[in-house]
Order: sequence, then structure tokens, then C-alpha cells
Amino acid sequence: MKLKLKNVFLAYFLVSIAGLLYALVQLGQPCDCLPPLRAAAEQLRQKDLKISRLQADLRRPPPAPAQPPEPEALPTIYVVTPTYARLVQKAELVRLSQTLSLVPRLHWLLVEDAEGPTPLVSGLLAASGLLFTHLTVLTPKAQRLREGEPGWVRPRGVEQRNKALDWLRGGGGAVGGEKNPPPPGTRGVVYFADDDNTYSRELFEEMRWTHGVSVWPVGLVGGLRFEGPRVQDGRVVGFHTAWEPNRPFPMDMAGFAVALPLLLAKPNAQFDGTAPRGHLESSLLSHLVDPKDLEPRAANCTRVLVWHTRTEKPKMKQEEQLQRQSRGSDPAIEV
Amino acid sequence: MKSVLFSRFFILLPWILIVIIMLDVDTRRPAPPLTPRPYFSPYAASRGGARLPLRRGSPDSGLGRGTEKRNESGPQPQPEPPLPTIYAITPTYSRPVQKAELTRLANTFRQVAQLHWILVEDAASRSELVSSFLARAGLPSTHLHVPTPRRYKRPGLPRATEQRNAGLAWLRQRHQHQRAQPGVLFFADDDNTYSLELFQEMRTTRKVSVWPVGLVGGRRYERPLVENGKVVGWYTGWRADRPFAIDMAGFAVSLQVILSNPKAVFKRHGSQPGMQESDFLKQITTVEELEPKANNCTKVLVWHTRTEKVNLANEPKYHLDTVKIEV
Repeated sequence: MKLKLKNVFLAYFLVSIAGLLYALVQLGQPCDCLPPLRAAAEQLRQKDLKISRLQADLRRPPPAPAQPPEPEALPTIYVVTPTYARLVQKAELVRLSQTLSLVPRLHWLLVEDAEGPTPLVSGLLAASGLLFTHLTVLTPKAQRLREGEPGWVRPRGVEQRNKALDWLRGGGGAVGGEKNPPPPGTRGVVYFADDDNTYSRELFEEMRWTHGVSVWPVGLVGGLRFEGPRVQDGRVVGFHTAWEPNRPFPMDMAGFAVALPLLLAKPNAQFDGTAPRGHLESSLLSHLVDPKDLEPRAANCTRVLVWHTRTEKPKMKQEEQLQRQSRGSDPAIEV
Repeated sequence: MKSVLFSRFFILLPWILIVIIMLDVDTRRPAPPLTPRPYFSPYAASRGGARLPLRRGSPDSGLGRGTEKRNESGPQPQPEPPLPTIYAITPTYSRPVQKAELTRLANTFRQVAQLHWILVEDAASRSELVSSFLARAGLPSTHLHVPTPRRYKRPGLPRATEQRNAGLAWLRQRHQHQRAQPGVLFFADDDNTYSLELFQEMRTTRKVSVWPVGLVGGRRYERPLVENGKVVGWYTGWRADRPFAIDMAGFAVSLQVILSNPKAVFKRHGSQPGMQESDFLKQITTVEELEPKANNCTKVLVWHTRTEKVNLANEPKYHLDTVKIEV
């Protein structure tokens, strides 16, 4: 053929198409993948060696704590959980009780937002095998969230937590479980645990030996991956937070624990329901301690051991439809 | 001038197409085969000799906890018939609440005797977070991973198919050389809530057992309808015409059935959304054979809870902190 530009282009084009077809044919063919696989296997082997080394490190007994870990001498952790009736209540309490079962010397103070003890909660507590005290107090109508209001509009759980504090101070009023409050001089620590958060086992051991108020980071809260105190030389010097950082104690309810003797020594320390949004924690802590005296835990506040998870409201479209037709689900089946 | 540009464009076009195809071929290369390669993990041998060498994924990482009968070396007076092992296959993927979900799931599973946790990550390689988490979790576990191809990550498509199949493949591979020990398998999503009673109920599964699931299908609960100890229908809010109108959390399969149906896997092709469970169960059992648990399916022992998406609006775009903290 004559060496015309047109022919060159034609040849070039045909070669390109041929190459394209060849590439398409190659799709889906088994290939000789051995070398990269061998490399990958080698990488895995390295990683496994590393893991086995780490496991060996873990198996070494942890450094003995300063205090003798006799079961009788362990301070008791009092976990205060306000709860209210909604669809996911039983599920939340079930998984919280499963976590709490892993912690020795723990006393669960479950406070229902209700007029009296409900069978659901009573049955759950009895089956949980935990040491518990069942309390109830109804949130006054004015304080209660109205239908459709987002959760942060009004502070929640205030009356319930205060009721638990009251019981710890000898106020009485338990409707189930252990009715006697701890005798004066008991070593213990009080932790406010909401029923939808997630707690790791290690968290409870971190808080057990609190003298005043101890603090640690909380994950997934305040619009951040975690919120927590900033620590320098073992003292709290500030707070890593983005939402209203000018609060005296800008942390979440799940981020601190108070020693029981301190609470008993300050009988007026309570949560203030009229505090502005986000200041609920500060309303209690400002009665008890100065920010500079907070005790940092969780490896100088560098480990996240509790997460502020929230559970979706389950969609009940079908259920509502059926209720309207009087064919709703059997209420005898407890969910 | 224009014709020159045109001709240049047409010359380059096939090459650009080839380059694009080559790139796509690379990323679409099928996941490393799940049939295991002869891979001897260096620390497998030290945990008792009776361990299969042909196994993918890390061997049990429990700190000294026995797995099945092989490690029963404690001072037990009389070996009772061994408890059937419960295998929980949990697909998981990376997102802010992952560690939290796995933590509370592990807290639950730790309290169940003879439970083996098979955690399958939707990832191309084992992540540091999950590896170190499992090392401290304190229960027998297996860590697998298989990435979901990008084209299957659209909303409305079934999720975690590849991961569940990877779990099934591991189980089948592990038991292919052994006489089948009694075992029960169920699929545990990482955001559900399981009561301890559920595990007692499912342990006695002979073939496939079912029970009610709470807070699913737009209803307080969904459950199989039971008459004379047999499943006769489904109380469900969504597409009650499905052959098995049940949620992934509502059934368990005995190991025997899984091993005797080696081709039973979760399908993607031809599977409509919501039909995953039905398509899977169709391959291994019939409605008549189902064993109702939980007091003839009148007690809710598992809840289909879902965790809210985390608000990270205040997180800075670039890492500003002096330390890297895992959440």
C-alpha cells in the first residue's frame, strides 16, 4: 500500500482495535498470580509473627496494682442508670446487664422514669444475676419531652439520677433488690451509666480506685471522634472538646466517676435540671471538685474505653397500621 | 487544524480505553481464593498439637480458653457429652462505631460457653483495630477478611454476602477432614442485641431452628407461627409471601446441615433485596423441618437494634491532635 497518512492512521487504528480485543479476551482468564500471592503470604506471616509477639506480651501477668486485689477489699462500683419505657428499653438493658456481669463488686442502681416498678424491668433485674437496687421516680410533666422533640431539648434523667444519689445518702425508697444503702465509711465509686452507651470491661477497673473525681475520654460524642481531658504531667490541664468549650466541666456523663465518700461528704451535690443545655454534668461536679484536681485515667486519657452510642428508634409503620385495624401484635409477648 | 485534533483524538481513544480497562481489571481481580493455602501460622503449633494446618485466618486467640473438646485438660472429673459449639459468624466493616459494637458484642459472647466467634471484615486486609481487639477480647475467635466489590455497595443491594460466605467456607474447610462434631451456626450482625437465653435455645438445634426477632420489619416483633410444634406460617410485616419470612437473626443451622450442603451459600445473582435469608434456607431445608424455639416462638430473645450514625460534624478535616487515639 502506498505510504499515505490515511493508511498510517488506518493501520494504527486497526492495531489499536486488535489490542483492545486482546485485552477484552484476557478478562476473566486465570492468571499466573503466584508471585504477588507469595508476597502477600509473606506479609501475612510477618503480621502473624507480630501478633504472636503481642499476644505473648499480653499473656505476661499485668503489673500488680498498688492495692491488694482481695475480693473483699475491692471498692464497690455503684452504677446509676436512669431508664424509661420505649421499644428498645429491654434490648438496651439486656446488653448493658451483660457487660455489667463481667465486672466484680458492682452494684447496679436502676432508676425507672415511672410511677412504680414495671414488670419488664423487675423481671430483667431478677434474671440478670447482678447485685441491684431498683428505684423509681416519675419525671414531672413540665420536664418531660413532648412528642417529636429531639432528645437534647430538655435534660433527661435528672430526677432519676438525683433519686439514686438520695438513696446512696440513706434516703430510702428502693422498690426492689438491695434495699439498704451502703453503710457510712464504705469505699466505693459512683458512675452514671446511660443505658444506650457502650462500656468496655477495662473502664470499670480504671474507675474503681478513685479518691475524688476521675475522668477519661468518651468516644463518639460532641460531634467528635472522642472528647476528653488533656493531661500534662499527670494533671488535667484542659479539655479536648468542640461543643461549648467554656463549660466548667465540658465532658459527657459517661466520662467521669465520683468517689462515694466525697458524695456523702457533700450532701447538697445534685444535678440541676434547670442548668443550660450541656451543663448538667458541670452542675454536679462544680459542687464536688475543681477542674485541676481531676484524676486522669485510661493511660493519661489516651485510651477510649466508653462510647456514646445511640440506638435508632425502630420504625413501627407496620405496627401502627395493624393497631389501627385492631390487629396489633400480642401485647403479652414482651419485647 | 480541527481535523488534526480529531485525528489525534481518535488515535488516542483506543489506547485510553485499553488503559481504563486494564485499571478496572486490576481492581476487579477476584479476592484471594478462600480455599486455604498451605500456611503454617508460627504460633499455631504451640497451642496443642491437634490443630489443622490447612486453615486460613488466625487460630483461636483466646487466652488459654479451651476450644471444643481438644483442649479439655482441666481437672474435670467425668467428661460429659461435650456441649455443641456455637459458631457465630459476624460480618463487620469499618466505621466510627465499629469498635463500640464489637466491644458490647464480645461482652455478650464471653458469657456463653463453647462459643466460637468468626469475625469477617469487609476489608482487603486485616485491620489493626480488629486484630488487637480480638487479641484482648477473651474468647475463641477467628479473624477473616474479604472485601466487597465496589459495584455491590449500592444502597438497596444485599450486604455482607461475601463475608457470610467466607465464614461458611472457613467452617466447611475446617471440618472437611474431621468427623463432624456437634455444632450450631448462626449469623450475628454486630449491631443486634442477643440475650444469653437465646444461646441455650439454639444449642439444641438438630437441623434448622427458628425463633422470634424483636423490633424488625416495622413491627414490635416478627415470628414464625407454630402449631403442634411445627411452623405453619409467618407473622411478619414485610412480604409475607417469602418462603422463609424471617430475619438473619431469627434462625440457626446445625453444622451437620452446613457440611452436608456444601453448595449452600448466600447468593447475589438473582437475589432480590430481602430474599437473602429465604434463598439461603431454601437450599438447605423446608418449612416442615424447621424447629421452633423460644417457647414455641412466643418469647423475644433477640432484638434487631440499629445504632445511630455518629455525628462527627466537629471533627477537623485534618488530624490536628498530637497523638493518634483509636476509637
